[in-house]
Amino acid sequence: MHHHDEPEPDADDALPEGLLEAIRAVTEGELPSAELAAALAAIEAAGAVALLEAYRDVHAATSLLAGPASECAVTLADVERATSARRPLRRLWGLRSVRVAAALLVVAGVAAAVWPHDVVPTVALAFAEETARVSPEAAAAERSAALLAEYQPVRDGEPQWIDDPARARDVAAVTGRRVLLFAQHPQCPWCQELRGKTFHDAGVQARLERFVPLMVDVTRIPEGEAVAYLAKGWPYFAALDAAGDELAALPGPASSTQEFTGRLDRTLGKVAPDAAGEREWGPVRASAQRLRAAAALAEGDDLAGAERELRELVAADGDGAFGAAARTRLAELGNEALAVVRDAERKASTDVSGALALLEAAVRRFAGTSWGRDLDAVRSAVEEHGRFPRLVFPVSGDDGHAGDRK
Amino acid sequence: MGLDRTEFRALFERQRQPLHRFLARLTGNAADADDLLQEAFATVWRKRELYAGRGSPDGFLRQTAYRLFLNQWKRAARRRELAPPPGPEPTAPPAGTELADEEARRFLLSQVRKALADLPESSREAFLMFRFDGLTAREIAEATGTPVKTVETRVRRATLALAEALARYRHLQAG
Repeated sequence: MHHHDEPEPDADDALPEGLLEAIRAVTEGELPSAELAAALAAIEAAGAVALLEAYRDVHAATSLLAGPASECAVTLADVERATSARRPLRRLWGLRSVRVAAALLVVAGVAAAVWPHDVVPTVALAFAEETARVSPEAAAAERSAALLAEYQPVRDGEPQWIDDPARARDVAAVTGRRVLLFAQHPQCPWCQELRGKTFHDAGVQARLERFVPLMVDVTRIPEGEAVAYLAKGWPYFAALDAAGDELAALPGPASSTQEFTGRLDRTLGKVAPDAAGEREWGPVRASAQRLRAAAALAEGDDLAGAERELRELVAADGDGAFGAAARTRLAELGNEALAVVRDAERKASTDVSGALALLEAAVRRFAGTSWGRDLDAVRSAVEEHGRFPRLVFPVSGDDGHAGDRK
Repeated sequence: MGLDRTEFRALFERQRQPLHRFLARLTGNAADADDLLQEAFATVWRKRELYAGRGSPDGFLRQTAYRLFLNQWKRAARRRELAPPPGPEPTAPPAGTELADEEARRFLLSQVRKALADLPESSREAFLMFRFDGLTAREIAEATGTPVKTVETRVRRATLALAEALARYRHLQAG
């Protein structure tokens, strides 16, 4: 209660309760004579005759203020609509301002629904960001592709010894074979006999083809490594796995080609009894050539050709190292296209024409590819609607072309 | 005990016009009075349980309406900064002029308004409720949340002040 804006009445000012109402009743002449007499007596007893006179004057003067009474426009129905206890919303609805606001909202909603700028187009992208994970096999295929594109272990009757241990290990990983290490010294007589005679034997060559032949010239390797071979003597033969670990050492110099052949057979029986995991050299060569061709096409900006080669490689060597390398390259191309889409999306919020320029350049670069079609769909949506579309990535995951999101 | 719907309807029928007059006088226009009246009845219905055992429903309604007036309308009206009435201040007609004379009537009206405006706000409101709404001092006290004695003092002082201010124009009032 906030009624301290006026001093509390003085005791002297206090009027008997009802006296003001009696003064008003006397003034307005609404009392029967008996009550009028009693009221006047009470007024006089309270010493309020002057107040009665004052009120009469003021009553007369202020009657000018009364004016014609205005009629109330509110009906019981209005109030009941506004007082519906069961549905508070109906009470709100009873207010005209709320109804007007609701109508405006409906109009705004309809406008938003039909106004082209507010339509968010949707574009489904067949590619999606994929972790460009490079498997060890795919990496080995990439590193050895140049060598393997032309490689035969025995060509024109001559064994094609690989002289780089790291490359030999890559070839072993790609082909599923063991490395046959031949450590030799140029002046070693046994070594010369092996190179000049034994390795030209058809039986020996047939067995060499099951290995990845690696010849190390101990005079051409770092001294520390050469010392290790000195300790073992030369020629030195050993079967290594793709990591370079020695699986088996062949005993020292053989007295004959037959003996050497026998040692190779025993070693093979020991380190690679089953040839099922070994890939044929011909198909490996073809895959390496295809991977190199795809690289060359991509370098020449023929991404359509590159994609074609890579997809054929995936089809031909799906579970092989070159197939894995092809999937990685497809994912990288898809990610490059997606990066453009993301850049354009960011740019579109402030610069739609800049975003369109990015997309148009990417459409040209990826022309004829599956990513080019998607990029063009995004570009069209931006061009038509003046805003960036909502993107949808169907998850179908096959060869790096689709959104295999893990 | 709260107010049931039948009692509420009876209250509406009984107070609709008096409350409208009360609010029209407070706000100065019928449209604002209607809005406040509807809101006052709606508030009374929402808070009908609060009414239980607290005087008459009519008093509860007036109190609600008056609080709404203070809270909503008056605050807005203050922001509107009511401009003084347009036109020159009427000049006093010579002594002996009859009230029937329109010019004299307008002059007297302007003086009555001025005298009212010169009263403290709380006294002016108490007096107007007493004079025009036919409320008793107790009813005014109830509506405005003021002690009865304070209301009586306000009405009495307002009456004496107005009488003094308007005494010199007594000759303009129709005899």
